[in-house]
Amino acid sequence: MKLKYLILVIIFNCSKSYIHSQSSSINIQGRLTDTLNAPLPGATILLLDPLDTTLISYIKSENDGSFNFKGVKRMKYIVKANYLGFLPYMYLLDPADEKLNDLGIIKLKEIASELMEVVIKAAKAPISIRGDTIEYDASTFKVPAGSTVEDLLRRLPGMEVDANGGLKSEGKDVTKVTVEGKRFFGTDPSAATKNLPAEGISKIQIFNEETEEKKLTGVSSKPADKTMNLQLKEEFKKGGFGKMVAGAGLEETYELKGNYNKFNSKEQFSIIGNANTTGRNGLSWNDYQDFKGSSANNWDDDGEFGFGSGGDRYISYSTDDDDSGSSFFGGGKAGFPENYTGGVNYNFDHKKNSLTATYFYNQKALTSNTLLSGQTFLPDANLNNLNESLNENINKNHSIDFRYENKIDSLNTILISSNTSFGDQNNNNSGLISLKQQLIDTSIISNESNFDNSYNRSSYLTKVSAIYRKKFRKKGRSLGLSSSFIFNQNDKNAEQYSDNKFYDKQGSLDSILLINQLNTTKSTKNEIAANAMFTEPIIKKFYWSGFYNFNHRNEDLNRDVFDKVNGDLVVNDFLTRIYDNTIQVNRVGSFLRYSNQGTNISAGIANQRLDLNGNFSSGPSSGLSGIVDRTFYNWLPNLDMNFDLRGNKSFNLSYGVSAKEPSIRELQPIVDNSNPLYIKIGNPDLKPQIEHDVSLGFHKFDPATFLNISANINFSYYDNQFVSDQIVDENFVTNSRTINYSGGQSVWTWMNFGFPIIKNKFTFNINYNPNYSKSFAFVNEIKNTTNTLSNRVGFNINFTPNPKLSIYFNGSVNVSDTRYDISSGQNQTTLDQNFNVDLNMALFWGLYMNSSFNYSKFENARFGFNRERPILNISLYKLVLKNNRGEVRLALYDAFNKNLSINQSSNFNSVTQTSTSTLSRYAMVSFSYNIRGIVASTKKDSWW
Amino acid sequence: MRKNFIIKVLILIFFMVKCYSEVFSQNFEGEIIYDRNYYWVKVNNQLPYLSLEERERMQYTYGKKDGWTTKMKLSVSNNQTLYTYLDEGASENPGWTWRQDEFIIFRDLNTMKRKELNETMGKIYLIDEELRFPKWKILNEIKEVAGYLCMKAETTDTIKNQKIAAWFTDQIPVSGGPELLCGLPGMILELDINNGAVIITATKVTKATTFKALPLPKKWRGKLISNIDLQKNIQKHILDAVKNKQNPYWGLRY
Repeated sequence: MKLKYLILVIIFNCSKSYIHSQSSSINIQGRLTDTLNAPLPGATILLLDPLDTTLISYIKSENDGSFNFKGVKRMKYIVKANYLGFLPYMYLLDPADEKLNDLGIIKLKEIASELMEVVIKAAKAPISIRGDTIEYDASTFKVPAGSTVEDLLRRLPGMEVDANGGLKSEGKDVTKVTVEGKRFFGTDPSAATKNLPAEGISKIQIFNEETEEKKLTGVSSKPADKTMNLQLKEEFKKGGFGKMVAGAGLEETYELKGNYNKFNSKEQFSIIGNANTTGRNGLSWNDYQDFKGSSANNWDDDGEFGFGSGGDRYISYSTDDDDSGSSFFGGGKAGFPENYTGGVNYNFDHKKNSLTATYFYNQKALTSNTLLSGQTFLPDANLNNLNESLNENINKNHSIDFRYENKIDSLNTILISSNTSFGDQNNNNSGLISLKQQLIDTSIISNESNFDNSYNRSSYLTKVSAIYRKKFRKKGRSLGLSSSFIFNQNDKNAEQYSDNKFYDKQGSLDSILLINQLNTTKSTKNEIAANAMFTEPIIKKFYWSGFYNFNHRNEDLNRDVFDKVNGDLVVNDFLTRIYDNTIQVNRVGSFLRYSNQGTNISAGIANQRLDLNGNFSSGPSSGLSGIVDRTFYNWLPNLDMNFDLRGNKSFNLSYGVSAKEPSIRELQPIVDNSNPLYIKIGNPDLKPQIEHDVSLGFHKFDPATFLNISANINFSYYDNQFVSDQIVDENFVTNSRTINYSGGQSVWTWMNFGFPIIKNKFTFNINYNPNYSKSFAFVNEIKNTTNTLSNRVGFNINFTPNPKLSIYFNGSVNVSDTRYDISSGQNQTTLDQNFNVDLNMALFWGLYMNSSFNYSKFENARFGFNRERPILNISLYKLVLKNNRGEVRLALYDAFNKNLSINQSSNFNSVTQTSTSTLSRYAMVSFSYNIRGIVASTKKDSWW
Repeated sequence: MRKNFIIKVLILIFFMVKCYSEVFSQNFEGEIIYDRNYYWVKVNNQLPYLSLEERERMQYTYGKKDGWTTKMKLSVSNNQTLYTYLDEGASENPGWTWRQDEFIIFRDLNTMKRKELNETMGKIYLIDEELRFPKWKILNEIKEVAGYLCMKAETTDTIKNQKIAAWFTDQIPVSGGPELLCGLPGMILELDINNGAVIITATKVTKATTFKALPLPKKWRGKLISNIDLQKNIQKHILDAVKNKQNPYWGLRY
C-alpha cells in the first residue's frame, strides 16, 4: 500500500512538468540564490500586473531555489521574489517571442542586519523598499522627551549627522528637507531638523527624485542628492481656532460672544466670553465642548460607590460640580437680564497624566416686575391674595476648578479634583401684599402689607476629592477607594421691612404690626465622605461586590436678628437662632452580578444607619432651645436587569429603595415668621422619607428602516412621605409644618414611536405620556387626597424635501385632570397646548432664512383662565468672507410683541397666577466670524 | 535482499518525511488572536456630511479618548479558517457585557467556499456561496507583525468607500485572514481600514501540534442572502443614512 502511494506521489510530481500549454501562454522560470550562490527554497514568487501591481499568480520556489510559472497569459509582468530576511527582488518582464522566458539565476540581497534588528525587530517599523532606497516610520523610535528631529536622526540606521547638522543618508548628502512636502524655513536643511521636536514626527521619507516607473520596477538611478520629507503626526499639528458674534438691537439689547483656542498634541488652552441683555444664553453644548476640550467629559468621576457602580460604563460630564458648566445651556428667566460671563480653561493631556484647570466668572443681573394673584379656598370663605413686587437681583460668582488624573500603570489610577467657588448676591424685593376675604357677595380686606426686603449674601464653597481605582492581575477583581471633603460658608445680611395692617371682620383696621429688622446669618457646612468598594469574580460570569459609604456632615448656623427701634438695634431674642447639626450616614451594601453576552443582572441589599444630632437655641430671654438626637436604620434593596437582545432590542427592569433624610429646617422646632402671614414651624419627629421605585423599559431601533419604538414605565410608592400640614387661624395666618404620611404614589409612562413616511424626506414621530399621582395634605387637621391624571400626546414631523427647504413641526397636547376628595369643588381640568414650527429656507443671492413660530395655549376652565402666546422669531442671514468665515444676520424676535411670562399653578386649596413682564419684541443685527468657517444649512445639526 | 529492503525503507522514510514536510510547510494549523481596534473619532471624522468645525471639535474633545478594542480569533485547520469573537460579549470592564452582533466567518480555501453569519442593519444574514478573492495590489513594504515578517498589499471596498491595507506573511502559507478578507500568498496578520480608522492586528499566533477540527456552529441560523444582494442593501443603507445625516455604521460593521 505504502509503495503504491509512493509511486502515485512520484507520478504526480513528474506529471507536473508535462502540461501542454497554448501558444498565447508563456512559461517563466528562474532560480533564486543568495549572494553566495546558496539556493533559496520556499521563497514566494509573485506575478504582478505592471499597471497597478495587482496580484495575478504566485508560487513557491523548489528545494534548489528554482521556480517555474507554466502556461501563464502572455503579457508584461512584474516578477517579484520574496524571501525572509532578503530584500524583495523586482523585475519587469517583457515576454520574448519564445514560449519559455528564463530569468536565469537571481541573486537576492540580504537585508542589512542593522535594519533587520533595529528597524524591523526592535522598533517594529514598517520599511518600504524602492529599488535601493529604504523608508521607514520613525515614530516608533524612542527618544527622550524634548529631543529634536536631529537627535532622532542620529539614532536611525543608515543616517549620519555631522557637527554642523549636515545630513547624509547611506553616504549621500541630503540637500533638501521638506515638512509635509513643503519647504521649511528657506534652504538650510538643518533648520527643520534642529527646530522641530522629534515627538511630532510620524514618518521620515528619504528619496531620490525618480520617475514613478523607476520607483515601481526598482531600477535604481545613478547616485543623486537626496530629499528628506518629514511627515507630522496628525494630533501634533498645532493649531488655533475661534469665533465671535457681535450683535446690537432695539430695546437696548446687545449680544457679544467670543472664544479662542490654541492647542498642540499635549495642551489645550481656551478663553471664552459672553455678554448680553437678551437673556438668550448663547453658550451651547458645542461651545462647552470647545471650551473644555478633552476634559468636557470624563469617565469614572463618581466616587460614591454603590449599586450599579464599579463598572466603568458611566460617563460624567463635568457640569456636576464645577460652576462653569451651569453657565452654559441655561434657559432665560422671566424679566430683564444683563449677563456677563467669561472664563479660561487649560488642559494638559499626555500619556499617563491629564490635568485640567478652569477659571470662570459669571455675573447675572435680573430685574423683574411680578404680579401674583392667588386664591385660597377655606371651608367658610375664600381668601384672595394679591402681591405686586419689584425684584432686582444681581449674582456674581467666581469658580476655580482643578482635575488631575494619573494612570499610574495599567492596573492603578488616581484622580484628584478640587472645585472652589465664591461670590456674592444682592437682592432687593419690594412691593405690596394684600389679602382679602371673599364672602358670597362681598369681599372684605383682611390684611395688607407693604414690604421692602433686601439682602446681600456672600458664599464660599470648596470641594476636594480623591479616587483611587485598582484592578488586579486576576481579571474582574477590582478595588475602589474614594474620599472627599466639602467646606461651605454663607454670610447673609438681610434687612426686612414690612408694615402689616390687620382688619377685623367688618373691614375696619384692627391692628398694625411693623417689622423693621436687621438679620445677620452665618452658616457653615463641613462634609467628609469616604467610600470603598471591592469586586471579586466568583465563578464564570458571576461577580460579587461589597461597598461601604460613610458621610459625616456638620451644619452650623448663627442667625442674629435685631429690631430697629428709633435707629437703635435691639436684639430680638425670639427670632435669633443658633444651631449646630450633625448628620451621619453609614451604609454597607453587597450585591451579586451576572453578566453574559448582553444579559446583565444584579441584585443586592444595603443597610443604612442615619444619625441626626442637633441642638438649637434662640435668644436667652426667649427660653427656646432644644436638642435633636435621632437614629434611623433602613434596609435598601436593589434589583437591576438589562437585556440586550437580537435585532437592536433592549429590555430593562429595576427596583430600588431610597431614603431621604428630613432637612434641618424641617427638623428643628423653629418658628419662622419671616412672612408673618405664612409661618413655618419645624417638626423634630420627622422620619426619613422612603421611596420605592419600579421601572420597566423596552427599546427597539431598526437601522435599515429608521423605525424606532420605546416604552418606559416607572412606579413610585412613598412611605413616610413628607407632606404639608397647615393650620389656618381666624386671622387667616397660615401655620405650616411638614409631617410624615404613607401611601403617596405616582406612575410615569412614556411611549414613543417613530418612522419615516418617505425615507429622508418625511418622518413622523409620536409619543404618548400618561401620568398619575396621588398625594396628601392636611388642612386644619382634615386629610385631603389629591389625584392627578394627565395625558400628554406629542409629535414631531420633519419635512426635508430638498437641501433648500426644511420644515420641522412639533407639538404637544396635555390634558391634566385633578380631583380632590374633600373640596371636590376645586376639581379641575387643564388643557395645555404647544406647537412649534421651524422653517428654514435657502433664498436667493446666498441668503438664508430661519424662522421659528411657537404657539402655546393654557386653559383652566375652573378658573376661567385662558392664556395664549404666539411668538415668532425670524432671521435672515448670508455667509460672507473667504471660506465662509463670516455671517451677517438680521433678526426679529417676538414679531407679534406677545412675550409675557404668565404661569398658573394650583393645589388642593389654592390657585396662583403670576405674570412677569419680560423682554418682548426687538430687532437685532449681528455679525459672526468663525476661523473654521460657517456652514449654512437648512437642516438641523447632524448626528454621529 | 536485506540490504535492499533497508534501502527501500530508507527511501520510503525519506519520501515520507519529504511529503510530511511539504504538507507541514503548506498547511498551518492553529489559532491567531487579533485585536480589533475601532477608532470611532477617525471613523466619524470621515462622515461626509460633517462640517470642518464639527470634525475638528470631535478630534479636539474626544481625540485622546479614541479607540475601542475587541478581541477576535481566527482558527485555522486543513486550509480552512473560522473567524469570530474570542470571548463573546466581554467588554474591557469585567462585570458588564454587551451583546455582540453575530459575526461568524468560515472560509474553505480547498473548495473555495464561503459561509458566514453576518448581522447587518439589525438582521442576521447567512451567506453560503462560492468564495472569490478581492483584487489585491502588492506593495513594496515589509514589516513585522506578531513575530512574522509581512508584505503589504492593498485593496478597496467600493461599497463602503474604504481603502484597505493588509500585511500578510508567506511564513504562514494559508490564504486566509481576519474579517472578510483573504486571498493573498500567505496569512493576513494586520488590516488597516481607511488610514487607521479600524486596525485589526494579530497579537498572538499559536501553532497547533495536532490536527483539530474547526469549532463550527452546529446550526447556521440566518436569512440566506447572496453577497451581491447584501452589498446592494449596504450601499443603499449608506446612501440613505448619509443623506439623512446619520452615521451609517450604527448596526453596520465598519
